[in-house]
Amino acid sequence: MNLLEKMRETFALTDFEARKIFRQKKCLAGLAVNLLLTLLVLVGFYLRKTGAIKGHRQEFEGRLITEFINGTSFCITVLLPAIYMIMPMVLAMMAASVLAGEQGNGTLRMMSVRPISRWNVVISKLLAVTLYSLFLLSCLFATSMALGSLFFGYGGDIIVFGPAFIGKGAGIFIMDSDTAMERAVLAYFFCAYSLLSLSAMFIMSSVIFRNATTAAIVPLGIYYTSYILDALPLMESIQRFLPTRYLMLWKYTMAQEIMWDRMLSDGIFLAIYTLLYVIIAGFVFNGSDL
Amino acid sequence: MSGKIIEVRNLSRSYGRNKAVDNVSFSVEEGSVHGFLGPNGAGKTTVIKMLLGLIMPDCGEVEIFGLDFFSRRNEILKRVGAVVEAPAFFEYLTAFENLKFLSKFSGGCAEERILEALSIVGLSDVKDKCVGTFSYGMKQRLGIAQTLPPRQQACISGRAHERPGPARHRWSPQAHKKTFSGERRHSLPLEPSAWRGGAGLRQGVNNRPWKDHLRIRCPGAAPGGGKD
Ligand SMILES: Nc1ncnc2c1ncn2[C@@H]1O[C@H](COP(=O)(O)OP(=O)(O)OP(=O)(O)O)[C@@H](O)[C@H]1O
Ligand SMILES: [Mg+2]
Repeated sequence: MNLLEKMRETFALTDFEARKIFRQKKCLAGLAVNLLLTLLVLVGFYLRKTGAIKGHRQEFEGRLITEFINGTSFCITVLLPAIYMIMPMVLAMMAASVLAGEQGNGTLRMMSVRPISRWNVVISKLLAVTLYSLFLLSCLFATSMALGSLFFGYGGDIIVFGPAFIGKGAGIFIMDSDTAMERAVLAYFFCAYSLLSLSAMFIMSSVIFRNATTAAIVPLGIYYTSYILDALPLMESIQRFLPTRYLMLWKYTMAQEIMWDRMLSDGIFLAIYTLLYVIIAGFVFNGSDL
Repeated sequence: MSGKIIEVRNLSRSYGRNKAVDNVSFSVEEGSVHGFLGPNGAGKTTVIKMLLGLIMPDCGEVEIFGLDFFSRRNEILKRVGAVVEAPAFFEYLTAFENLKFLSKFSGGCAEERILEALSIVGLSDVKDKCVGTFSYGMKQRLGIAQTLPPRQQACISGRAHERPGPARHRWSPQAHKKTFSGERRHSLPLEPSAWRGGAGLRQGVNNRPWKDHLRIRCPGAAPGGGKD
């Protein structure tokens, strides 16, 4: 009974938070950046495919790669810069704006003199940012699939550069058309899970720092630093402690055989991290002066 | 207990070493209008925030409608309308939408009530405009309208009524009381520390325990400070 009421409140609050996000012009900024990325990759693929870039087409490797340019490979390629760079940035800004930003302009106080629980405020803001990330990912998938299919043909075999996804030691292999399409969908799906965890971290940061700029920059700085360290040689000894370690579990969907066991264990760790972020955010927010 | 809408006993709150509110006690009678005056930094906003659960006191008791605030918070807040400091709204939503959503989380009310509230404060014409396009005075009016829709029985507002502009609808505590009483009973502790020419406000203070109980921390009150 009480729990049901609480859940109804969470739902109403999330609905309100999501409406607020989609009513703001800055909601379109994330969309615009993703679209720009898609168009740039499109131009790159197009020039490559039509052989406008001389030299590459002469090499054996270059010609081989060109054979595998199609809608599916385009859709997956676009995902890489989006998930590693653009989405974290856009979501950090959005999370900072919905929590720390509202604290700064006083609207959070206006909400908090109403009989709603502060836990629910934090959770609904996280859920709303997550809905926004789902919206961005869906748009990215739809536009890249549509444009890729239009320019390079729907479906087709793809070539997977193992090291780019799984890390050193993974091979380069060819994936057939149906599998590739299935993996593209799975990759986008698990990206949403990674973004949920990132958003939770950004919301926690918002609650702790209370200032929108600091709230966005600190976790982004940590994220990008971890990301770079993760890719650097000689850093193996600290890589296992990086907060980004379990984040990108979607990439295991791009292995020759999906690495389900690895995804499960990473997924559990990620869930624990996410839960911790939410609990810390909730406790800090509950006790903070508004 | 009857007759007392707000009862505050031995309320204290520090910010680090700074004792912002030191052992304040007072009570507010049903149906009365009060001004809450004191120099800048005296602790008025801090007291009001504690009355609304925005910050926790270090010690003390707060009873509203005879209910203990800290154990019955939600029940109480359903019946309280409040503006703390400057009115803040979602600028990308219209005036009507702002009131609709805010009242929804105070327990909900009919759309007619919201339209009525908007017309009381003279914002009917602009109800479908985004609040971002409003002047400060218009936002203040919306702040007042915002305290009305659900069946509020107590209204706590800080600064919202401060120097209301000479607009079409002149604002005064008496007008406030007259407009919003009716079947509901109100108690309105205002906090217009920069109110000038607040004769009506001073009349409105029935029993004046405020200043006596408020340990004033700022002896050289700034020019804007409230005087009574
Ligand atoms: N967030 C805060 N952190 C630290 N000190 C604070 C904070 N808010 C208020 N104070 C201090 O608490 C005291 C009371 O502040 P408060 O805002 O309650 O005063 P006030 O009576 O509302 O003043 P004013 O008339 O200027 O609005 C002041 O000394 C102020 O410096
Ligand atoms: Mg104040």
